Amino acid sequence: MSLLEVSGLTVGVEHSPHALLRDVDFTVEAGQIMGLVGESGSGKTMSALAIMDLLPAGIERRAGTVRLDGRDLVAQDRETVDRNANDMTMIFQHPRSALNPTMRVGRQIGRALEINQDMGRAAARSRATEMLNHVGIPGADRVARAYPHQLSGGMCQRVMIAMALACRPRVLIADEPTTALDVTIQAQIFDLINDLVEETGCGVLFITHDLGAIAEMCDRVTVLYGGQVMETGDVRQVFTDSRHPYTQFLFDAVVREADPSVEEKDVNFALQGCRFGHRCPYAFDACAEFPLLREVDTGHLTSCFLHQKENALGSA
Amino acid sequence: MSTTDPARHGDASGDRGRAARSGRSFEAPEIGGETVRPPLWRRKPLLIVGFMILTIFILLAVFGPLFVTDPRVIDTTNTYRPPSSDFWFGTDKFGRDVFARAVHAARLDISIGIVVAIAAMVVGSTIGVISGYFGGWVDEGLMRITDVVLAFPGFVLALVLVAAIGNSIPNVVVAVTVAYIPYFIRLTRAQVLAERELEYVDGAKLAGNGRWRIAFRHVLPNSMGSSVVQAALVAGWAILTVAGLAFLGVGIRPPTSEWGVMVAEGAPDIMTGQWWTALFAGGMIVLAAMAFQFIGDDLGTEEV
Repeated sequence: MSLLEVSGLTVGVEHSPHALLRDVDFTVEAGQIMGLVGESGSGKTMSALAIMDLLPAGIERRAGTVRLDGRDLVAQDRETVDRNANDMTMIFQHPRSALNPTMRVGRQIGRALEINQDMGRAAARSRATEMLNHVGIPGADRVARAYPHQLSGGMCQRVMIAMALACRPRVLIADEPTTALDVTIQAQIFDLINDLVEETGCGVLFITHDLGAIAEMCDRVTVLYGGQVMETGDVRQVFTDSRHPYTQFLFDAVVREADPSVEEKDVNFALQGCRFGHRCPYAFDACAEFPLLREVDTGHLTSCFLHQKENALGSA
Repeated sequence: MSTTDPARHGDASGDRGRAARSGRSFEAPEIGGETVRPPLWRRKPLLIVGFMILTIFILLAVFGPLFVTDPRVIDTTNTYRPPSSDFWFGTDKFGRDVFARAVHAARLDISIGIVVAIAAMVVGSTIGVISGYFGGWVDEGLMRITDVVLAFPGFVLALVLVAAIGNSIPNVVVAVTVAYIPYFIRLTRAQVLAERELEYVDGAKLAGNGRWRIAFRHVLPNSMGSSVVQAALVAGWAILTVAGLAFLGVGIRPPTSEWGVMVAEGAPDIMTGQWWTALFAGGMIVLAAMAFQFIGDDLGTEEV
């Protein structure tokens, strides 16, 4: 049984037939880092928000289950997700805007502890300082009394991480945690996340558009395009033996010039079949249907009909 | 890592000090270090002027009454004395000391202005944050009521309310407060609508804070900026409204020492040459309202 198991997650715009996420499946194992990669608008953040019950107004969760250790978190009415900061927390992309500008950072961390760990105010405060120290902030005492605008971006991200980890959650969702930071800070934040996984055995859903970061950080990776899972598997499998045409073109685009036969078009959310169908040079009749994930190798799944025809692309 | 000391954040000399300690020889921070922000009185002169006038009024209101004679004492031997060293602002037709009355009126009018501004801000912001954060039919209902109240000019509404509930001082305060509440509701709601979509609100939800707590402890404090500015302006307007009501004879009544009352009583005297009975009270209304406007205006201007 996986630590976090997301299956059939479908999210759409209210009063519209179009889906932003279609049948998204992935799992996060304890002590592992699962990468979620895709271009802008592919639904990475939307998946995280749907899991965390933070979907913006006008966006609804239509189907799907979110299981933590086998316990279904999605309520019957599909409106809410039963989770608290002891189960799952999230690190946001823009650390500064994710902290309340009018509250001292120590207090913000302390509040999470008071609510979720039944701590008193004084105990929460000293634990908050401890957490700040733990994420490598020098002079944690002073920083705890600072407001977010007095801290640098990297410092704010550490505060965010300290806040997320204060309650020792089982699952941590990191939504592009280093996009707003420079590379030196990025390396420090990566180390911090790695250390924490080793230390606490939590599972991490690591969202990024940076394939390099995936290769460096993750054990497994899920490739998302247009709200559809293209391919999922071990990082090694997906990187060296990609089976979905989209994944292959994605890697091509990184290592050499993009294939001009793949026209640049917007994601077509109205499309019935495969989301990549209208751009895919290998598209055929079957692609008008929605492709389900199929296993092509142990733990390596892809949603492409080419493989159901036993027609591996090989060296496309 | 970057600056960790809040007290020294942005302080150029602190940066230079660190560079020197760490043994770096280059003088790069010098460029930034030379641009010193002009002092506050140069950036916001009106703010300083406003605060100075207001401080004088507050000192006058707090301590003034201890040093002047009883403004209610009628002295028929000293009627209509022009301003002199004995009677700085002269005396009126009952021989009352105009300066003593104006000082006592300062205590009343300044207090009313500040009380109205704070009460309207507290009530208005509370309603505004509920309306903006919770939305739905609560928002619809509150906003329609606000629209109805806003449809009346503030002064007219206050006038109608005072006429309806009677013109004691507390009633005047309540009426004027009610007239200014809708401005705060609208202002706070607009801020809250923008603020509630920001990431830190999601962060607060993740930490497990309840809806009410998020609304009042996280969203509200971040939505108060323009309300505070508005409060300074409203304090000035409230003084004008209270004085206006008194002048029309529907607000605070004579013989209470109140600037509007004094202007109303002194107006006929101007015709007969006794200008001092109305002028000083009128001048104080103008100065007090102006002080609050200056403060509000300059507080509302973004720092460059």
